[in-house]
Amino acid sequence: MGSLSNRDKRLLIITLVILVIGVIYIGSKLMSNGAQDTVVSAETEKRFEDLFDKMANVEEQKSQNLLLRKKIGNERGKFVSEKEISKFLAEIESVGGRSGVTISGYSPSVNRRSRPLASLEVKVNFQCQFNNLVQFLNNVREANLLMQPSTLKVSLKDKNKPDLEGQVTLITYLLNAQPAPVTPGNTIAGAQ
Amino acid sequence: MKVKRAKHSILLQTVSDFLYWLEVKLEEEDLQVLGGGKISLLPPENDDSESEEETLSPEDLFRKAVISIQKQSHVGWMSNYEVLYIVPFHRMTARFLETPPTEDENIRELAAFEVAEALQVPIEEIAWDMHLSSRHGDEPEKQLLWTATREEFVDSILDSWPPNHLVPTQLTADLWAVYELILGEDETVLSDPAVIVSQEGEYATLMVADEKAIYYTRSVNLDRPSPGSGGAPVAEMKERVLALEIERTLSYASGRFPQGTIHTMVLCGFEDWALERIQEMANQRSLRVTRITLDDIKTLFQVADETALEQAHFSMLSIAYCRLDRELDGLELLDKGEESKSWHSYVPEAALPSNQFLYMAGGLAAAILALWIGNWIWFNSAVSSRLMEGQELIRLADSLHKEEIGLRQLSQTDVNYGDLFVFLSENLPSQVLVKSISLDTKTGVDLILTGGNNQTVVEIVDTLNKSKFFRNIVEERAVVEQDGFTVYLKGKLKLSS
Repeated sequence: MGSLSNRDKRLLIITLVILVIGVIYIGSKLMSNGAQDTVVSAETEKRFEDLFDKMANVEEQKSQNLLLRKKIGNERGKFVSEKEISKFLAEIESVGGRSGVTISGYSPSVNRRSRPLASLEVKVNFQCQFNNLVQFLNNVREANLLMQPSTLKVSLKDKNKPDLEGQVTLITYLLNAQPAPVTPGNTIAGAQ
Repeated sequence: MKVKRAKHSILLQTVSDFLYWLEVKLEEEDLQVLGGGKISLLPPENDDSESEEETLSPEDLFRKAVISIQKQSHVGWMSNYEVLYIVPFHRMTARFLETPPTEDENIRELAAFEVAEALQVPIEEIAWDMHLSSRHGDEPEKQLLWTATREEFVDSILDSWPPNHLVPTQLTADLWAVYELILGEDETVLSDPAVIVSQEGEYATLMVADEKAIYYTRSVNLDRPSPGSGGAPVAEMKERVLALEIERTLSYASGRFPQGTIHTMVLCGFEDWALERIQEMANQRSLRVTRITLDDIKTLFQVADETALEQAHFSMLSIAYCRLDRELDGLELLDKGEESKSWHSYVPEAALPSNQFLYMAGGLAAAILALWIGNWIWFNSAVSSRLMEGQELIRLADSLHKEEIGLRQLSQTDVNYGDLFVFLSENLPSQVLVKSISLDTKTGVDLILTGGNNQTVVEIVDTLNKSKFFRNIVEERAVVEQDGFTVYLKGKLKLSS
């Protein structure tokens, strides 16, 4: 600095003053309303709007789902994915075991024609006594995985004994499975 | 394309303990002398031994003078100007060189060899340049004059300069400008060989030249006694010395120009000289004397009234005229290396800012640009990071939405089968046994009961239809089978939906 002329010093001071003012101005914009003043692409804006809508709806959605859960009597059960069929069968087995129901066979099938979600239907053949059946049906409602009987056939195995035999079709919905596309053919088939 | 030079020059020359200066600007077609004068380089006479001035060295006094000249000048912080310092010619060596046919690009190399040979010093230690007359022509054989001095002498000049004050852009000598001034103003004067005499303080520069080249030149000290001038006034003594030196010069040049071939003598300056001895000598040698005075050269300029110009300004005016009006480069003793064309050459002078201004403005612009780019990067990274974080939320929302659909599906077909069976066990008469039950949320209910009678069946159907589990229960048929009275009931489940 010692070798700078007065003119250079003046220039340096002017430059520094302008620099400081510029830095403060830009810095203040960065710190405050940078996002508001900056234009983003239409795609980004749409994504933000979508995001804000979803954020606003999440809590409401959670409350809505809780009401529905209470209605079907299972507040903590989860849906399974298409890849978790064995997990679903294990849960049925576990429920049956807890209920004293003897399960003699499973027959799972994925129904992609059901609307609006594809469904997983498992036919379960079982043997038990009446109390165990009631307990089994109650435990199904409170299972760790959401499931529901869609058909139930029960009959006395022997008129003189309390043993029952039957078949229940337990159904659940596969949230992430792609339903089959709707065509006149499979719509009719589905109706049938 | 010729590189555009500054049109504003400040010239400095040390003559007889004074630093003379001149500021000239070319405005449109007019050469304007904006200022000029001289500053003493001697300590002021002062009896006060405590005076601060007394302690200043010659270098300090020189620096102080340059700073003072800058203050008096009209250079602004946006000015584009050149500063020329005129090196005393008596500190230089000059020789005429006639080259064999040579390509233009090789002339300088050839001359450098000659300079180093003549001075017996490596060329790197020599500050030198060559002058080719503006009327030389395109002949491959060049007739040029090189001038040289020790590089250390140039360094000593630059070392004594005050930093950042009128830093020289060119170190030059004045003889080339005096020569070119004559060529430019009256081309007939040098159509034949002539003796050119100019003054530089106590020294005189003598040249033998024609329009093609300067063939011989020497600088002589006039402030010395001459033979036979004992007791004569100083002015007369100087004139005797000058006359003698002119005769010597003609004698030295007689090898190329024998007596009688030089008919003209041009005297540049010498305003206050009687010149009787010179004229007498010229008459003896049949030389026609032509004078170019300070007033003559001042007619080429518009001189501000307050500017007092002296004889010593003659050479500076010559250089200013050659630089600004005739756009001649002249001798250059500063080693600037290979000069390349810069954008300055394409910009009008008025729009040319100083380098300091450009550096600072460029730095400021770069800083603002960097901040703007930083802002842009920061903002976009903030947007993308928020969108990334938002993706999780969107996935959660989508998952919850699908879950709602699934839960609605389940709730639409929800039947509490456990309670249903408990209800049946509690409400069917004890004599009635459920043989088989088939429940289907889509197709309905099929019940096969044994025991009881028709009255019992009516009660059972009524009970079932009033329950929260069944609807539309009807008796399909009643028969007596192996197990006894058997009734088939059919109906629907009451679903939540």
